[in-house]
Amino acid sequence: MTMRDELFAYAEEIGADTIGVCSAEEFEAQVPNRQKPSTTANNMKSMIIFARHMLGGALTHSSLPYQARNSHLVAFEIDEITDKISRWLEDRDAVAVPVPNEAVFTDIDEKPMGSLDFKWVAEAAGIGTVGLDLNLLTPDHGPRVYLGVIMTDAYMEPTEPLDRDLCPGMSCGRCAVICPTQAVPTEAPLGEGVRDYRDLKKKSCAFGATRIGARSLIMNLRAVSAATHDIDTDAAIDNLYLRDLWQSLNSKAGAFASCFECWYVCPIGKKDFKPMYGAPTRKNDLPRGSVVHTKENDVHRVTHRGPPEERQHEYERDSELASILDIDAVQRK
Amino acid sequence: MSNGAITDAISLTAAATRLDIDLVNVALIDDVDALLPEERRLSNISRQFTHVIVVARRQHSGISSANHLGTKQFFGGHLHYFVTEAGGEIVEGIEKGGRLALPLYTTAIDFDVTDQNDLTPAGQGALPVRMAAVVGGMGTLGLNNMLLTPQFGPRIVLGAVLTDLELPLGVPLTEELCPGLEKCGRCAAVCPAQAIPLSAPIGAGLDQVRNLDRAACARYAQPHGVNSLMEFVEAAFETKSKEELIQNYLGEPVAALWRETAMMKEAAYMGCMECEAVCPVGADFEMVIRHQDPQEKPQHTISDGRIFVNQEGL
Repeated sequence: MTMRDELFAYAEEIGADTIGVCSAEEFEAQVPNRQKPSTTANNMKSMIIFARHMLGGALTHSSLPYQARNSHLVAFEIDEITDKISRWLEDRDAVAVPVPNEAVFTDIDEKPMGSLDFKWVAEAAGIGTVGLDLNLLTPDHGPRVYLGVIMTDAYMEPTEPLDRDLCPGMSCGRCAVICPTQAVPTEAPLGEGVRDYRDLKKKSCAFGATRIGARSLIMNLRAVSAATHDIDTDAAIDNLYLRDLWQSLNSKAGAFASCFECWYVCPIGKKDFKPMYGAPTRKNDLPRGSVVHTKENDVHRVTHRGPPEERQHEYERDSELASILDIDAVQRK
Repeated sequence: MSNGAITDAISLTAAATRLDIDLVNVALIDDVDALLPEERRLSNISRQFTHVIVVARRQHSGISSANHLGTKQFFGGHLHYFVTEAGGEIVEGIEKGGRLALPLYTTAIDFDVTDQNDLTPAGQGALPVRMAAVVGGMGTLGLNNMLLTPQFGPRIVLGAVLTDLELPLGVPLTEELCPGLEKCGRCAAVCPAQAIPLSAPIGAGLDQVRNLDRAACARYAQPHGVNSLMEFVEAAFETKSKEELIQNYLGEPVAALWRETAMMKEAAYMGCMECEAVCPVGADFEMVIRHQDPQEKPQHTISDGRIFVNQEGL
């Protein structure tokens, strides 16, 4: 049994749903920015990547705070598995570098980003393929997984990339239709594969995914500071936004990983899509007939719709205090 | 007992192994308190308990040697979660055995008796827990008051459990692990805050020299911590105009404080671990430096009966 085989067996035992390996050197050569292995550590040979799925029941309801807490529960499980795999490697005299899965840094690029882009590591290692909206899709759980990475100076034979894309691209387009911030492409040239047009407007996505995070805090503070009239201080202090802000600082709920609309509707995932979609809440996300395709002038389009109305306001928290205090809304940059 | 109860040293060791705790030592609370200022004594927390169990998790080898500070900070800090969890499990085990126990959260600061600087250097653990580790024989204090261990040097995170369970006591180490400023001084040489003594009388013992400017250390170890928050609020209140406030403060400074609070959490205390990375004490040091750039040995100079460590070139 090779070290890789032993590792894979151990990882499964401690809760990884799927695991793969890619070469650190080969991955380094592909990365166009500083999200390279060498930014984190020198002389690493292998990148071990694993996935753990979101709890099934957690995907069947509409409560965003509950959803966000569930996602951070899984993120913590990722940390635990990452820690254990790192110790397992060290017990075999291999240097292990656990990579943060839920953190962004300002020293990687102009905009805050992670030190490593896990989805591309996952695609290289063959545990899934990257879809239309740049989510990693896995065969069993679609995009409804979180990922963990450990770099090591132990060489392990890389696992092969999948030989076909899991994402149907624009012929599906459900994630593009429902995205609350229109961050996902809604059109593509006819005849091209999803790898040619998969994309995500990250800033727009962040409006939803980090809806009670640093950016919305800054936007709301700026709005209050720029007020040209006396503000109602009671209203400024005693409001839902500040309560949600406290919760986001306390438990991360709403801070990041707080929009799951694309996850709710992605039909990829042998093990979890059907159980999830059986829930009445999920059936209301994109009722029959709401995904409209048009093909003309060599362009395939889907018509954006957004999430159900009762959830849309959750993704518009940037100007919440301005709205409460009757201040002209701060323009999104 | 086979139901997870902790009733003796054997069952404690077994529990620690199961919980991925790397080091466990026990001391009498009275012995530890004798070395602490009155306001920091463990018996202030509760007079019910007699023993303190100190636990340590090692830093991941790659974290100590990583290039990227944020990565080191994130996972360095996460060890505090694991140590706290382990503390809770140990408490549960002791209670199953019929005794009482209380986990100490070393990153929970009682601002009535101390402050955030207590978690310098490098967020290793609060002063009472480090002293308990010394009394229990886990290690000795280094030049910068950091706990050094034979196995992992300073590259550990500490936790503790107070209990009334009678356990065999650890024996304090008889020799200093730290070579001191004259023979080493690497931590002082590399410290970006110059918080560690850079000079000493020639021949002075370690106990006469060891020190740490905790506030200086905190500027780096807690870059967006409590001190930074207070400075930010003070500066924000002193701005002359709304435009200045929005331009200079309601942007990246807020984002940095937010990230440290919401994302880093306990890792907020571990923004600098330079002293840990260069300390040659610890059987793990070979692995830690395996992929680092070769380390320069600090240069020493002598003048007027004092020996100085030179920071230049490091």
